[in-house]
This record gives sequence, C-alpha cells and structure tokens, in this order.
Amino acid sequence: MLKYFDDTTFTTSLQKYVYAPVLRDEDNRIQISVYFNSSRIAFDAILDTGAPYSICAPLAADAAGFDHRSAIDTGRMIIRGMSIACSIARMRITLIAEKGANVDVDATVFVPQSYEQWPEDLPSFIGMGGFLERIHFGFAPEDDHFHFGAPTITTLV
Amino acid sequence: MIASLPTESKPKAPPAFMSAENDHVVKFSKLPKGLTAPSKRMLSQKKKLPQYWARLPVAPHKRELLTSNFPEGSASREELLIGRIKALLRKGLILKARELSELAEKEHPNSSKIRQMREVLAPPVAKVSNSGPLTWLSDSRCWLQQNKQEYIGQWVALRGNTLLASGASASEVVAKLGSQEAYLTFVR
Repeated sequence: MLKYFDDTTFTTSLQKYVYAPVLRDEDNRIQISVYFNSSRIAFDAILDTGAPYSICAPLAADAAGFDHRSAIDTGRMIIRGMSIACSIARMRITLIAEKGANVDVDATVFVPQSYEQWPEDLPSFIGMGGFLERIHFGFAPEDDHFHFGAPTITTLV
Repeated sequence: MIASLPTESKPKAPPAFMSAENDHVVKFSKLPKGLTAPSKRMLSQKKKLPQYWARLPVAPHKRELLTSNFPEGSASREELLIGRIKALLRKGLILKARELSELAEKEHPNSSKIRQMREVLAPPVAKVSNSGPLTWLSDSRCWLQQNKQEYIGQWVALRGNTLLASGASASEVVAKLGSQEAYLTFVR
C-alpha cells in the first residue's frame, strides 16, 4: 500500500508484473494480468502509459462474452501499423491484485473484430485514455511491482 | 528603521472570478454576510458544484469542436455531431470524442444515440472490488519459468502450480477450461 505524506491512501493493491518482450525483436514491455467483463480467466495485458486508448484482444473479448453489437461504432484503426476493423465499447476490466483488493474499471476499449487481423499471441493493451487516466498507479522496478488503487471521490473533486 | 505599512487601506477590487463578465459565478457573491473566509467560501462553492458546472459557458476550444468544419449537406445537426464523434474515434482521439459527446448531449438531450455514445466514452470509473487477492498468480508464473522449454509456442492455462490445459490454439485451451478459474498465457 502506498500513502501520501499525510498518511492517506494512494494505492491499495499490487501485482508483480512481467517485464519481457511480447513479440520477437521487440524491447521489454510491462505485462500485467487482468480479467475482462468479470470472466474467470486472467489474461496478459501490456501496460502502456503512452497509449491513447485501450485494446481488448479478440481472444479475451470472446472468452469474456463480448458482443460486438453493443459497440457504439465500428471503424478501421491503424494499430501497430496495421489497419484493423474495431468495435468501440464499454467494458469492465479488473486489475487483479496479488496483495490487497482487485480494482474494477469500467473503461472505453477498442476490440478488433476478427482474429485474422490481430496476432493471436499479441495481448491486450491498457492505455491512458479511457482507463489509466482515472486510477492511481506506480511502479517499483526493483521488485517488479505494479501498485494501483481507485481514487476516492474526494480526491477527484 | 522599519518601514511601516500604509495604514490607509484602499477598498479591494472584487476578485476576477466574481466580475460581471463571468456571469456564471456571480451567484457566489450572494453569500450571506460573514462567510468571507476562503475556506467557508470554498465549502459553499463545493455544494454548488453541479449547478456551477452546468452554468459554465462552453470553453472556446470546446466550442470549436461543436462548430468548425461541418460539411454542408442535408444531414441533420444531430447526425453531423454523431459523424464527427465517430471521426474523432477513428483517429483514436478518445478524449476529444468524449468532450464532443458531452456537448452534443447538452444540445440534443433526447437523442438516444448520442446518450449511448456519451455513456461509452465517459471517463473510466474505478472501484475497489470485493474480490481478490489472487494469491496463486505468482506461483503460476514461477511454474512457467521452470517449465517453459516444454511448452514454447503453446498456450497454457494454469492455476498456481497446476497445469489445467495446454494446446496450439488459445480457443482450444479456453474450451478445455470450461468455467474453471485460470491464468492463460502464450509461452514465448
């Protein structure tokens, strides 16, 4: 648990992350485990604080029972140099805690519409826009710990 | 010699935010007498926050989102706004699309399509869950490190030190899992 100087809580939970390449010939990426739509399968997701939005991999979306008809729009996005047809929807993503409590985030995500366009072994992406922008988080690189927590209402006001 | 401060005090000009130009905050100047301490004023303003934000004029940069570069044509204003939100989304500009959906809803409060867009694009809401912690996740990753050579190029589903399923395709492994709780990963 991380605290502010006045002893109030900053983060409530932590998960040990994996710091390794995701695809061949790539640098290390921070990978954490999350649940999508409260499913019971923990999937890997790349934590990318520089990404403007989050992407749920088609495999994870299917396992979580995601229905593309719930999307507000579908369109082609350029993701990692590929033009990919995506649905844009609201989804619950749970940051899994190894210590502390899980944190549920109702987030805006892009979901690629077909497996052909998204390499099966490419995980989901957790980005700043629509997800990380409203949670507290920090990294402890000496022990690969990702600290996170939900801000209280008073913090947001 | 210590310079003394001038004793004659000039009447203080009202703070800029209370000027007549900013008519959306003028109501705050109607506080009862005696509530002049900043903390009390803050408290009073905090209670009025929802009304305060509702009365805020649209900032120039946001107004631009509503007005600029709309194509001429037969489409209704509502359709044009929806089209613009979608165009912003396709460029990956979630925050701009969110701002526009909020403004569009104020302009078209009865449009279900715009309301749905505003709800999907709303800022994320984070809540501490009743579930967790997941104590076996580290064990699964340790198991993976020790046994990865056998499973390179495959998908594996683990629960702690137990291998629940493995296979060449993720869908096949998910199908084998059924409703079991597991950590699913591709072995590199």
